[in-house]
Amino acid sequence: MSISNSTALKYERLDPDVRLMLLVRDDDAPAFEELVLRYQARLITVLTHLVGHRDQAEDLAQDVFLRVYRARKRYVPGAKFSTWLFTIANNVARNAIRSRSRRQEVLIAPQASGAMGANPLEQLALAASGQTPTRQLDKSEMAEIVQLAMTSLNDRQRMAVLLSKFEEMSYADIADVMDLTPQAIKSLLSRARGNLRDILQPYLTDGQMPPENGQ
Amino acid sequence: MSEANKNPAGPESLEEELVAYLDGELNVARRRDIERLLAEDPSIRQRLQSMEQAWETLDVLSASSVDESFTQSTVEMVAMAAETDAQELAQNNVRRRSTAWMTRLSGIAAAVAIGFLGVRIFGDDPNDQLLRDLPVIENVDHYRHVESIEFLRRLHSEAIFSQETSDAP
Repeated sequence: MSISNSTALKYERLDPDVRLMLLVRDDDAPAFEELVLRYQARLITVLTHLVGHRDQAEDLAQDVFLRVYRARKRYVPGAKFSTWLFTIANNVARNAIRSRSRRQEVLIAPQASGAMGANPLEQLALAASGQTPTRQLDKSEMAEIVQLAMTSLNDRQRMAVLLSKFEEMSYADIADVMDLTPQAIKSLLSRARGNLRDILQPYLTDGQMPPENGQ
Repeated sequence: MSEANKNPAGPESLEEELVAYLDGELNVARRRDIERLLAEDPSIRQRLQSMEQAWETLDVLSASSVDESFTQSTVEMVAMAAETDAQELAQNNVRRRSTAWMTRLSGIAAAVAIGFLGVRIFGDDPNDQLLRDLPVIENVDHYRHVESIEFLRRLHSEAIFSQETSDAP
């Protein structure tokens, strides 16, 4: 889809990172380094929680920056720079997840809730509870539980949650990144947040595993 | 009053609206509708609070910090890739130019070959005429004694000398 001059000018005026990217387009190396500095941590944060491994997230982030650089000559601002960058990141991450699935390497596969204690969430909660129901989970334990809760979401829900939570993107921007409609993002986030609430609520109320299936 | 009655689109849609309310994605009119529902129904208020609480729990997920070496290695990797790209581009240009020259030379050679064959096949070769006329040339002294071609044809048709020629060694 072609981008009109007025749209390109609007984003150039509004977004300083777009202006940096336009300098990169003109082979300005310091501008590229500045973009890396501004976005590397944000990118690695989202990618780490998306793919589940910091090392892989760093590799993917470098791949994203490489693609940004290689695309520089064709760059025309049609959105905020962060939206464009995370669109590339989403594609790179989806490819990585797809090829990992093909290799059948289960790195962060969500576990189906089975027998009592089989679910890592349940095991964590049991360990954390230390047989004392009123014990509060400390921060690292809670972080592990939240990470596992995130793995219960599908890839698209997880990406939408991460962009909303960490990047504070609007539904319209997330829709741009994920090539969906804002209405689809609204539904996606609603289901994702409903799932997270259902999983996390028992831990939040008393720090232990909730009765399973009403038992 | 049931939830579905309060929100004609149904409970799933109400959940979406609650999430959109928390995310600041509703217009003024819808926001007021949700706020009215929240004021009227403690169960909806409870749902909203539990949703918000779970969302805030995600704050424990650490934001990544990145050291300088990552920045350095990223910039270096991109610089190396850019150099490789430039070399490949240059090589491709050389290859493209060589291919273009080879194509031109091949075209010229093909044109020359086709021309040569054309002349060989369709052109008049003077030697061919000489070869065709060789039997006449070899016997030109004998033919001088003949008055005309008609006379020869008559001799041939009457087969006067056929016996002699067939008996000839």
